[in-house]
Amino acid sequence: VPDPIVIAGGGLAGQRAVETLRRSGHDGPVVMACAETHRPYDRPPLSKQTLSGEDAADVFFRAPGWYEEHDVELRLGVRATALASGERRVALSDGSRLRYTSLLIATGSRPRRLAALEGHDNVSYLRTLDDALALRGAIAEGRRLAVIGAGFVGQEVTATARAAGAEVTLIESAPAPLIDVLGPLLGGWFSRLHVEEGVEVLLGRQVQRVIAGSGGVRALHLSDGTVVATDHVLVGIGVEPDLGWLAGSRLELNGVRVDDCGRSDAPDVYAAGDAAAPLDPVAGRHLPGGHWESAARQGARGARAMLGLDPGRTGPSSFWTDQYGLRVQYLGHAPLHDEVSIDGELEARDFRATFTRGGVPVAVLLVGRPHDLPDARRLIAEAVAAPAGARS
Amino acid sequence: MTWVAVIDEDACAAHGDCAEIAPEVFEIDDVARVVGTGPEGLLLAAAEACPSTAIRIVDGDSGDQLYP
Repeated sequence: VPDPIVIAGGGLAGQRAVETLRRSGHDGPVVMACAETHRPYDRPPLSKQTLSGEDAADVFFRAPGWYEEHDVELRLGVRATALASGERRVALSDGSRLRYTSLLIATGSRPRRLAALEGHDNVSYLRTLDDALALRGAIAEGRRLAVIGAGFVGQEVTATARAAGAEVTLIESAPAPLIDVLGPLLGGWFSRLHVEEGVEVLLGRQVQRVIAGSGGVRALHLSDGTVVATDHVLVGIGVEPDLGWLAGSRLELNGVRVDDCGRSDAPDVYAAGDAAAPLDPVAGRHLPGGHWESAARQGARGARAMLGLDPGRTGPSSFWTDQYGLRVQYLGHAPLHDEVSIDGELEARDFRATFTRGGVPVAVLLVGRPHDLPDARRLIAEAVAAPAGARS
Repeated sequence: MTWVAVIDEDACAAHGDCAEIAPEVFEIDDVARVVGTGPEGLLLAAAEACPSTAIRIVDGDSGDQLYP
């Protein structure tokens, strides 16, 4: 029996890799180690449909029998614990040490935690299906929810909780949501969006002290003296790659540097999704932490590269978020921008923001304009394809 | 008038929303594939749901693009 292809991780990138391997005719053994006890599922619905009460079964990529039908050995509740790339071996938490023909590192990321809020039952993070189901019980008409962090997870939970009638306070340490990425104009727009939907938005403030009693956190004491009374807290202050298990290998722990096909520096070791730091075509350097589309594509491309197949073309990946029934799409790398121009009406929630650097487009944000995305994609792809000298 | 769905394969990331909304029209492979046809409203709903805006709806008679 040949050594298996080992997929470390049971998220989107891992699932796409497995699907591509089998679809491409690979008939050798495949082992998939999933840290969670659930079979692979999709995460975007967690902060939206799942949280709003839709059937949790809808999030799974495949029916339970699919893995056996496709001869994929699914090891649930099992995580990768160590890599010895010289021996081509990966150790798993079930005690096994597998020799692999190829390894895909797709172990994803985990939420950054807030030390001040450890140890309380009414504090949630949102990364897993279990997290979403636990948080769902805390969201109801009239219940108070404090959301710490106005990134996309924090904003989506805010929107979902508002739609359910919860009283939501959104707390962000920066002067506006997403200001490091989108700048003050668009960050301010996101802030107003939540205010208009009845959310209390508190910016430029951090949690300084927790006031707790029986039942957990009762109130948050913020850095400016504001006290936010609450029934439940959701912390959404970003994620970090879950790569501690690579300590001792020579691979990077803050995102494995990979080429266009997901190849790392170690032989036959690939990485995809949040675990990977691919070359960002717009930024021109390796950046960890992509989004759904990039994870989906990287998983598939890595699998094709393992089999020696043409990985296919690649273009800029887009990102989307749905809030208050509004679709927001984003493409490119906005932190580079020195100027932003708006086409449309910010107040009407119908506009296109084009971010440029030295007059060259580096990112596009679309609000309520899904029909503009093909054009935006073309714009960014052309700017990337232009000679490097044309980009300052 | 017959509406036809066309997939932009470079943009499609196989989210699967289209196949969920209109399974008789779309199937998910490595990208979405058009495998049938359906009522106009259903085609439009599937196209509008696509997070990557990778589905075009074309009037099969005139060739006019109706969405996006």
